[in-house]
Amino acid sequence: MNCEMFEKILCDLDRADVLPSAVREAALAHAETCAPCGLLMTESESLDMHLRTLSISARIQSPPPRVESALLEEFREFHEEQRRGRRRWQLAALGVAAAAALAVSYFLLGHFVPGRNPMKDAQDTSTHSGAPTTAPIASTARDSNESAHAQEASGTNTPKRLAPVANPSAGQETAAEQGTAFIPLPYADSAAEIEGGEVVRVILSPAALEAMGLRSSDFSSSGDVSADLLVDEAGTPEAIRLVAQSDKDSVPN
Amino acid sequence: MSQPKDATDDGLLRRALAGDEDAFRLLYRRNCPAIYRFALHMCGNSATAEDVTQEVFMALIRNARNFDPTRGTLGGFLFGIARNHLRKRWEKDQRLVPLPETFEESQIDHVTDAASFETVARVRHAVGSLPEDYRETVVLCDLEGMSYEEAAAALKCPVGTVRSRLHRARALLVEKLRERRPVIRASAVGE
Repeated sequence: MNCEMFEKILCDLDRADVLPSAVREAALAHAETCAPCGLLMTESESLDMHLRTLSISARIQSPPPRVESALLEEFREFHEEQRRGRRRWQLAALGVAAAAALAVSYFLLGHFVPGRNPMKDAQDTSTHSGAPTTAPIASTARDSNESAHAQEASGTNTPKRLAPVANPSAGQETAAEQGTAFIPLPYADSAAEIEGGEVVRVILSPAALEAMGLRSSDFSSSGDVSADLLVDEAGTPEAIRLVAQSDKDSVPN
Repeated sequence: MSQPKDATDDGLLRRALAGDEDAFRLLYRRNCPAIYRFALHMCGNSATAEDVTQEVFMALIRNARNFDPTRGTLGGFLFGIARNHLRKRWEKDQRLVPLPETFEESQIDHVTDAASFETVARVRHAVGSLPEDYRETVVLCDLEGMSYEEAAAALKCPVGTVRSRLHRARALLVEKLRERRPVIRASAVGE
């Protein structure tokens, strides 16, 4: 052990488990034989004693009770705020979940109602009690005018095809029905001249069809036939469209 | 809910995090004296030490999740926060000046005999006049009795740095105590 080494470990001499016991003993032995190092050691021990006195004098120092009160108040407020925040998040999450569940339910009910047959529903709607249903066709007639003029200009003599009207319950083909184009009735004016009017869903007997100039032999069905009549403002049928509904009626030829 | 006195700081902190007020109270009572003394030794002013102590535990309430038990003790974590607050105050208003010549009566009331008072006053002044890095090392290792490892964790520096700082700090203290004459106030010694 030399003086330089002694100086290096001087502040560790008073600490337990910092220096190996052999090093500690060597240092103490050196301090006994070396006067300057002995003085350093005495001063260090004196400093330790002074610091211990200061430490002991400060031991009873502690913050006043008001600090603890303020902290506990803060602790309560903080956790209350956290609880409120958590509750808000839970409510928001619950709301989102409920909205999602509603959306899914709505989607599922709209598409997969048990025991509901959309084809049959459409059929039921169209044949309900044989009562005619009506829908305005003003725009259809106007469209037809343009079509008729085009046909006249081209000199063709094909049957005039009238566009279906926008009413889903009359004049417009649903997924469950098939229909022909509108065929002008023999006594009717040109479809191009029709202004306004309605499409009327009717059920016609073969006799009624023949009365309109249509042959019942043209239809594979021998019974009554569903048809849409294009009726002008005066109530006169101008054109007819035959409608077959799913498997019940035969498809027009 | 009653808390066992031997509950660990980590366990108490977990309970406090869950909103257990008693756990927090026990945690505070266990750690606040050391934090307060550290602040008092560092700034020499009881009002500032009080504020710093309060700020340290406020930070614990709000940021307790930042404490990682694998990186050190809760005490070290709290000393680290206290140190940061003291530095902020130092930078902010330069109020952390070395200790005044006379100390607050409240801090020396319990020192009854003149020799002890003299010793405490001299040493306190000497410690207070050390550079900040040295001062905090002396306070943690010599006054608070921390090991080098604990002090290193609190000061966020290597153990070797703590040892070398302590060595220099003690040398400076010996020098200061050797040259400094005792400060004895007439009222304190009963003259």
